[in-house]
Amino acid sequence: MLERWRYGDFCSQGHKDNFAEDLVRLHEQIVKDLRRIPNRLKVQPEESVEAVAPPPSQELPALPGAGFVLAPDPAPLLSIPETVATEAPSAPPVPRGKGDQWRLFAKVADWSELPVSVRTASEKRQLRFVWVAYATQSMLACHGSLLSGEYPATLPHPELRQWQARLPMAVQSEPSAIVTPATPQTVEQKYWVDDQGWRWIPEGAPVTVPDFGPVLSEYPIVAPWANWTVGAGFTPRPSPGRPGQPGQPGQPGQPGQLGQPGQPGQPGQPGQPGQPGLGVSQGALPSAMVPPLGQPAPNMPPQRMAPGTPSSGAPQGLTPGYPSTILPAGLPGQAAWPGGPVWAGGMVGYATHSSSIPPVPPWSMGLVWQELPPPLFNALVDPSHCVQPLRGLTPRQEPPVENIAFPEPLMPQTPAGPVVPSTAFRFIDCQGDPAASLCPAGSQPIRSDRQPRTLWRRMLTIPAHHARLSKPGIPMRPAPPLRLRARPVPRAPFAAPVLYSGRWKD
Amino acid sequence: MSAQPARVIPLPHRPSHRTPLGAPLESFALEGIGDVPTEPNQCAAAEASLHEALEALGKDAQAEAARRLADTLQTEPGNAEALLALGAIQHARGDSIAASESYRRATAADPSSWRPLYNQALLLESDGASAEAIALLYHAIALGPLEAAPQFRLASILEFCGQETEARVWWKRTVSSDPSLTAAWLRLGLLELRGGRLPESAIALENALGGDQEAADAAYHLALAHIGMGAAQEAFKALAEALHHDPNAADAHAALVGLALDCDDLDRAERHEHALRALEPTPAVLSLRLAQAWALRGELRLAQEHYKRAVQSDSSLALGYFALTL
Repeated sequence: MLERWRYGDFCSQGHKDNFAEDLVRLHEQIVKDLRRIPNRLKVQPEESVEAVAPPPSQELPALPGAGFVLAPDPAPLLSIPETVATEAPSAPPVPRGKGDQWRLFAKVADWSELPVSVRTASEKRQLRFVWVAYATQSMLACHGSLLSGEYPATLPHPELRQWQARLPMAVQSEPSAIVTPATPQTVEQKYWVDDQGWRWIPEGAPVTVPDFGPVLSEYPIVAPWANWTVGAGFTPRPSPGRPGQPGQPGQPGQPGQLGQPGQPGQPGQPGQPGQPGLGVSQGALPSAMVPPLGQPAPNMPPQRMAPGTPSSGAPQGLTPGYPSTILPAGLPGQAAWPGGPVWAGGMVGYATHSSSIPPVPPWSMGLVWQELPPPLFNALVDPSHCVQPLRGLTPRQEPPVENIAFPEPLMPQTPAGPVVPSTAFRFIDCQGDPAASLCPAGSQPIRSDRQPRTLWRRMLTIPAHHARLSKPGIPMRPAPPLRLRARPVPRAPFAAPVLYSGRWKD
Repeated sequence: MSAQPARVIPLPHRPSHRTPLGAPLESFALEGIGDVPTEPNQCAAAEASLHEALEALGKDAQAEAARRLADTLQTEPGNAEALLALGAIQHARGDSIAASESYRRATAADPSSWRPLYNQALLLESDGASAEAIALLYHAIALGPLEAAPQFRLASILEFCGQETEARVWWKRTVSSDPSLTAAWLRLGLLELRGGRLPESAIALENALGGDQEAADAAYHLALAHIGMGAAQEAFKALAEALHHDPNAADAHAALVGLALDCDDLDRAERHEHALRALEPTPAVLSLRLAQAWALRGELRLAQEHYKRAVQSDSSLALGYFALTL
């Protein structure tokens, strides 16, 4: 059911409201966290100034109004009186404390209005978007729908991007023109965790996003599990396409040449689909393949994970034939299998859910789309709930009939006596349904005034001495009297006219 | 000597055949009917034709009877019996105006007979003229005080019109005139039962058990009278008699269930409740009482079943339970 909610397939308005409520709650939590950031950073700079000492090789800046510094002399002869420092005209003091960027962050966090449609937004607002066109015309999608050939990609606020550019960046290495063979490196390369937190990304690798256009066009939005293939066999074989091997495709790209991985696209490049940094890259997909998080990154020191391990390209301990989408992520001894595109070589012998996609040869190049719930979905629900891994193909063992526990009888054996309260009773009252406030009334815009902050569902627990029930039983109060109804009075029978002789009767 | 044609006296034209309430009986008399001279041979022929007509009526040959009666009346226009029979034939055909006219001429021919008035009252009752019918029946009863038929009809019309006090009197006079009239005993018993006079009702209903047509009704109401008087065994017998005449009487089964519950005979109650459920849904009251009774006996499964039926029939039982508990 939750999987269907994810695709917007709700079976009832109540489920839709519940899902909307969860989203609202998560939104509030994110906004609360964002507002908490400046408060944290308000304290940290002062502590860091006092605690962290400057490096010895770095010169201290000339503080305005600083006095003379005595030279270290083990045996001073004279005691030189300390002169009073004179006030010298200097630059206006630089305000300390939090930076202005946090103000902007807080301002962004205060955006509570609903996102407007891009196409109907003002020109000023449209500047925040970059139109990415991956097709010249609309494409026919599943169920007879059309997919637009272009879509807006959200960019941060220009002012926010300016401040973001001023943030301390990681030290980038010089780009190397020659691809060096994968040899045991002496210098440990920096790795990043991608936005979703699923895999390692080498620092210099270009930002690669899978080409999900044709995938989505063939992927059914409604009931995607209908095309899932569950139960493929497990064939542990070495993955020749594992990145990090010399001369194999899937090498990390040129480090440092295309910007920071996982960073939003740079402004000033609208209308250039496929450019790295804009969030879409169609050409350099295989070059960014790295093992998922929890697996050794390419070119990592051998003490972490020896490269060339036969099963290093796939998660360890994955149950054969078990759909990895519903694999419990937190099972002990099992690594979480990441979502998104994965290396085809590493998917050999594992169950995939991409039956709608043409099968990929095991040793060929390319990506296989691994359908997994997004992290947000994982944060909201537990996909492993009520899921038990398949243990072989043994038939399900039905419990014997005699072991089925029948419910407790309604009445005790000795029901005489008054009703004894024993059970508390909980009530649920729903007030301020956000679904009602979200509905536009006529020409009025969508009202969201009470939507973010209204706790519309409350669990009220009546005090026990007010609401205590016995277990359900047949009430022993006197039954209403039985009223036996009298039948209606029959009409008089038909009377035939009488004669003198009386010989004529009906 | 040729027969002189009968002198036709035009009757006063009336728009309706209904007799005005309180009109004297003399107004129905026709002038000169008795003045029509008849020959002895003609009288014998007329008598023979009347006899054949009545025989034809006994064989339900109304057309032949009407033809014979016409011959009779042509010979003897003032023959009251022929006029009465002709009116009855017209009455049965639905010709109310002609039948009423025939009855009036019969009454005029024999003013001492209650039969034309009774037939006329039946005609008026069928036409919905209850007040006029009651008036004619009073006259008919005055002419034949020992006849039960007009009394029965008068009591029935009075009860139908809501005059139960007068109806009770005439029902009693009816059964006094003819104690074998079970229909009158049944109606008297029902009237007594509605009035709360249970002993009188029981006596009347016991006398009504001999009938064939309405014996089931009499037995059922007799059981109700006994239940009201607290005579459970007599009520059991009466209900068994009612079910003997009508095995599909749902109300008799329901009464038996309630009676068995009161007598703590749960097996009998369960048996009749099953029969009742086959005919119609069991009343929620009975299901609840059965559930409570079985629960007190520790038969929880039966108690649950009956309580479930009770709540399904009347959900207010469950609501009332929670309201009572809270």
